[in-house]
Amino acid sequence: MASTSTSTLSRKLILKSSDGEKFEVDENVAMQSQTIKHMIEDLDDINSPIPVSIVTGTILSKVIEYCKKHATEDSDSDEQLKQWDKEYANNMDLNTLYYLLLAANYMEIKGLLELITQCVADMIKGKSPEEIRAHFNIKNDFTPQEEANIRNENPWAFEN
Amino acid sequence: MEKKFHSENESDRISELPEFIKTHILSYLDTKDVVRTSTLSRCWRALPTWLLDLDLSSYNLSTALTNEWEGFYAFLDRVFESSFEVDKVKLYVPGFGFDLKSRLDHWLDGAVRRRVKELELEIGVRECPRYSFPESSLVVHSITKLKLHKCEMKFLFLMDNLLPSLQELCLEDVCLNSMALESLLGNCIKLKNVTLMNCDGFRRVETSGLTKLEKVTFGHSVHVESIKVDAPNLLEFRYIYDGDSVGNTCEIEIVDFFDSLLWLAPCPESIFISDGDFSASKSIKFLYDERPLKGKKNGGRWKSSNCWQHTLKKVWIENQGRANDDTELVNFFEMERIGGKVECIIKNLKP
Repeated sequence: MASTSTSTLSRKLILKSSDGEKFEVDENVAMQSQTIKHMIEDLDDINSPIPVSIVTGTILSKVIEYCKKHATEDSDSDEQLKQWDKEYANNMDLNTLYYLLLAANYMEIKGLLELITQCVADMIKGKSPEEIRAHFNIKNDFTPQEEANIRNENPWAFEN
Repeated sequence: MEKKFHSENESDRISELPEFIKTHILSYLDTKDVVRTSTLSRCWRALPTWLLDLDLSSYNLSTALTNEWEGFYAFLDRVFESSFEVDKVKLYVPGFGFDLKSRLDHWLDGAVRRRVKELELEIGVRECPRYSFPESSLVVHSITKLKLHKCEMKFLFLMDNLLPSLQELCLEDVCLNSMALESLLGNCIKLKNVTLMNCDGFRRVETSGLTKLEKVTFGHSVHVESIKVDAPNLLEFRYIYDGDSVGNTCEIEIVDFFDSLLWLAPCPESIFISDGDFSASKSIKFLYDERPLKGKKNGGRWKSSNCWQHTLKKVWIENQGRANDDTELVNFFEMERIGGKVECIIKNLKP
């Protein structure tokens, strides 16, 4: 078993995005994704590109950036890694965050999924419903009466 | 091929996320923020009922809630109607009265139906009556932690198979008759942590056969005559007695206390004794030559490797609030140690 684990370090995999872009990555980087890990187990020929069907090249490159950072954790302390995570998430616009969430979910990358979820939750925290709607561009499809009813149900939640 | 993503987003992406991802996002928020999101739009309306962790404790709700309880109760009706699984429920019922009893029963039924694992229930203000906790919520397999405040449990007879998965039991200001207490302590064999504070209705506390029990906190129970914690793997025991700090009278005979406690719980790591208002306390920590093995009694006696008398190395005694003469206690440890020496370190801290 030990011999295979050393050889995995040097193995390369090719990931193919939904729009056909190809990325060559170290196996231990790709293995951060549970989905890919399972795919490799079933794969006879690891030299053929592995399709990551719902993720575009732009997003996949960002996912790989995250996985690379987290595959070589020994160089950084936990604190540094957290700081890196924070900057990584803060540099994304809402659209990218949305696609990253879907990608992290599809690829089963727990750390990334949690990072982005936390980041979106922080955007909601402490805001009034109006502010949240404005931030995320959510369309209010309640009638004024309906909205008032819901608020009256939980007045405790709307006091600051 | 490169796609452009603009920072201004015209479409409402977040609402389009699958429900379980939205719920995952909400799980990072406190319940108040989650409830606010239910007014965002129709697709956010039902999400609070998906939450795995419902924190409706007094800490969260303390600011509002005076005459607005009915709205909150209606929200609870809705939340506990849901059939999605829930992990933790922390429920604070501020204005409890007998008229609310059946409704609260219904919410607990809902929590149980949703396979709650950790249930905390706190009944409101000082003047309100205690809530009689329904027996139907005590036969549930999913519950691992139960914390009740201002409740009441009265059984007519001993009950079997109560809360078989329970690991943590915390009762504060709960009235239990001895049938209820005996049923709980006798049945929940997975118990690790037991707290009984300000409880009444019983005169004896007895546990036996709880081999997983590691931590016991017990205090402020005026009418209790005897406590017997037979727990071979107990690590921490905290006892808060009802004494007045002015009179300087420790209600317990300290050497007898240790003698009987260590007989039943032979390898603790720490023991803490304090008077009612924490103005005077004694904290004792134990260090062993080798960590006693987790084990069982061997023909009515402890295996020697499991007993403090064979492995105790150091004892720290720290008195807070008033200086105690611990000579008797030190003598006790030194006399009882078999085939070795115990070092006792005493520290008296004035307030």
